[in-house]
Amino acid sequence: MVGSSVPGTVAARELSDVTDRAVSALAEAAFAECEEKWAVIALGAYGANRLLPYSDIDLLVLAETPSQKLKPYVEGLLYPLWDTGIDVGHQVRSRAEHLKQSAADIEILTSSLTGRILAGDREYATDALGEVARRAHRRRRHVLASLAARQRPGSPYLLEPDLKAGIGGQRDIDELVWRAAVLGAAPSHDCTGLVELGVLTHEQAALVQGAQDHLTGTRWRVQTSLKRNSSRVTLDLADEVGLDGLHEALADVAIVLDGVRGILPTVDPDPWDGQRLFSALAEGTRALPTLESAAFMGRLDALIPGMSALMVLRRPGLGHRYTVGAHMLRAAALVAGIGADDPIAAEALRAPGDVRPLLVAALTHDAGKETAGPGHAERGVPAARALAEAVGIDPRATAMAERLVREHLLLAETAATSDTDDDDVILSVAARVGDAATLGALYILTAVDSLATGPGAWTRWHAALVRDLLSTVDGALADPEASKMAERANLVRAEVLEALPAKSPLAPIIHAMPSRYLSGHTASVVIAQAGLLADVGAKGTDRALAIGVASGSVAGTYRVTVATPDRPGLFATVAGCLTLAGLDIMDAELYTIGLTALDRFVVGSATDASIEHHTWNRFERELRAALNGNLALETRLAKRRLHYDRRTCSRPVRVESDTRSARVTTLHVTAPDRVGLLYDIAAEVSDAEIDIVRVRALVKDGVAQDVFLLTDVDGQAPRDPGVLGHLAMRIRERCSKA
Amino acid sequence: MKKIEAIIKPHRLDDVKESLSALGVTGMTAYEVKGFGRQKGHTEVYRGAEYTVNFVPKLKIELVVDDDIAPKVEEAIVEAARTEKIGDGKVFIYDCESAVRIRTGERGPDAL
Repeated sequence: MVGSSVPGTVAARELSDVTDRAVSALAEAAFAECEEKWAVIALGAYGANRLLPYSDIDLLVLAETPSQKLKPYVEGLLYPLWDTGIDVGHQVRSRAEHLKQSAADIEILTSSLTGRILAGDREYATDALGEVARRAHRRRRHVLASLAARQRPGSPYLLEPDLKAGIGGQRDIDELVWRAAVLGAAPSHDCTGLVELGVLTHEQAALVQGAQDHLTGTRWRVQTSLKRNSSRVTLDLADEVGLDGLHEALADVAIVLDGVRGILPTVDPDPWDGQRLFSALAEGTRALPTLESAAFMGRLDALIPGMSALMVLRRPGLGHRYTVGAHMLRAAALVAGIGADDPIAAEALRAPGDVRPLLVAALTHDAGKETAGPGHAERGVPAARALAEAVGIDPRATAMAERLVREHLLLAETAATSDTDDDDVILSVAARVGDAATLGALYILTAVDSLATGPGAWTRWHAALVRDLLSTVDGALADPEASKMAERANLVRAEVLEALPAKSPLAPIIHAMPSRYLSGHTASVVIAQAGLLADVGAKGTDRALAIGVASGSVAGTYRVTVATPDRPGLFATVAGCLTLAGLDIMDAELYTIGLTALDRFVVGSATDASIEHHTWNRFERELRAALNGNLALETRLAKRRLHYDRRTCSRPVRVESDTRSARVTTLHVTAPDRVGLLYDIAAEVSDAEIDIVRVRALVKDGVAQDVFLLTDVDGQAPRDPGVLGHLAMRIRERCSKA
Repeated sequence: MKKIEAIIKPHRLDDVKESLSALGVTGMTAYEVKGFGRQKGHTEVYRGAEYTVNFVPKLKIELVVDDDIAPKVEEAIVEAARTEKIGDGKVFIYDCESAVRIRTGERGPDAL
């Protein structure tokens, strides 16, 4: 029978009827010798004629015989049932005991309210069941309050719903039936009594009846598949048992019961406007039941087209626990409280600005999942635009909401799959995000999206990865040019590759060039410098150094490019040799491409003497010697200093470090200018095992104002106050010497 | 047999997995872990506020391989996980006494 039935309430009743015949026959036989009043009563779901395959059956033996005398009769009933493998729960009580315990225990009461007589003295049993209901009716305020206090875990929109205890599940329908029995003062097997009492409309009762049929059918298929009693539909069972219409059924029941309990207004036909939506979201997750019901009933469709359909759309994967619409509502509702648990989110939310673009993005970020397949982030953008326009936010905020939806996976995916120590990765993220305000909002969207997905999606492990990326990108965005660098670099790279012949040996070098470098140079410069890099051989060989010289943008200045295998203290060495050659450094950019350093300097004459061919020859000769360890650079610079005035300015040396950026620490040095000053500072920085990323050198009225951007050997901004303080002291001491 | 454990940067997982597949390694276990080595954590700055990260997120992979292939597996992991920056991780190799495939009861290298 189980295999051939169409799962649903009709099949459950038929299984109940078959079981009734067996139990009543056994009972009549077992109690044949019993001389006192007795009855066997089916309780709970079995009592309500809803018996499922592999479910247990609850029986009440009602009798006035003392229990010792009754024992053989009860065993005569139960043993054969146990022998068949049926899971039987049983209670043996007298009428008085049953009335007393029904008053004391809400579970005994509710199981009795759907009681049904199977065998024995019908008048005796009918009176007992009726008296339980009548007494409950007399105490109805207390009983209804106890029923309303029942915890309802989960949500109708869980992808793995609990069809029994979860919200909208069997227990919610049962509560309506129990209410019908209590208010009607008689046992009941359905909630139609609530219609006669004016608690439910005919339409609501029909919705509940339809849901009952749906839930019973689904549970029948689940239990038949698992061959055991279970009410949870796991994802691996979903295809097998078929879940069409299940979330609708659960939601219908939940909404009807919420209305009866007074949690939700039963009739609320008005579409929501933006103000109502944002007010609800400001309450945080407390507002979720209201939001979910409104969305399911189509009240948000005017704001978010198709939202009611998204509420029941299943797109399991990547740990998602809720339907698409419910997930988006959860994400949006989490924004209000995210700052309490996440100091970085709190910091981002503290920034002045409108939170509505973030809420719009949270409410629509997965709307593109309406169509299956990759690319849902981009497909969700029109929904964000529609909602932004519907709630009347300005075009700039609308553009931000669109960008947030488009990029809502960016931080989580990049943090997990890319090297966040790679400057190109950071610049690429900075380019896609655009500005610090959007980055902060994107971080919050990432956090609430992950939290709404499920408990495994935003662990401290995942959060730490994303925060590391956030901190670095935020530091990069402090440079207003950062967001444009990746795009500019891509254009330059494409232009260079197009200009090169096919299979050019320079192509791999071009691909290895960092975006920060490419974005600051023209295609022709890049090609020339790639040529230099291609010429560089191994350390210690004749080809270990390549130098390029070109005229600078200001008359009398030159651009000097040095390519050589990277090593500690390289900048100090090159700076020292430029000084020896009578050249003043005005600007310097330092790059590492693969294992080769590419240092670019803008230089001018340190004296009135013009820069000639022999200047460059000398520079190359001395740099080559210095790199090979054949030049006492320090001594030579000291001797050279003797040819110049000892001091041109009496200002004290000032050294200040700025650690506000996550990427680099900035060192500002103000000192009286003199020969070899830059070399001295760079040598101290190198001795402290700190790398120089960029130098800007300026001399005004005899005072050098040099700015160094520094990283430590790990490529991170040095922040240790002790290390930076010691470095400042060493620089002050050295630069104070004449 | 050798049991190989490696702590790697999370974004290197796919490369490590591909390298091992190329060697014929058919299975491994990956865990999300947090820890510190010489890196000793770091400080993050967001909008001027500093946040100390004492334990850095990493992935730990575990696999057991036949003795013959263990050196190649070690080399493949090192090559695939290397970024030449601090925090690239470590590889640990232990002797593995026994292995059993629960479904079939196969033992030793046959169970791998």
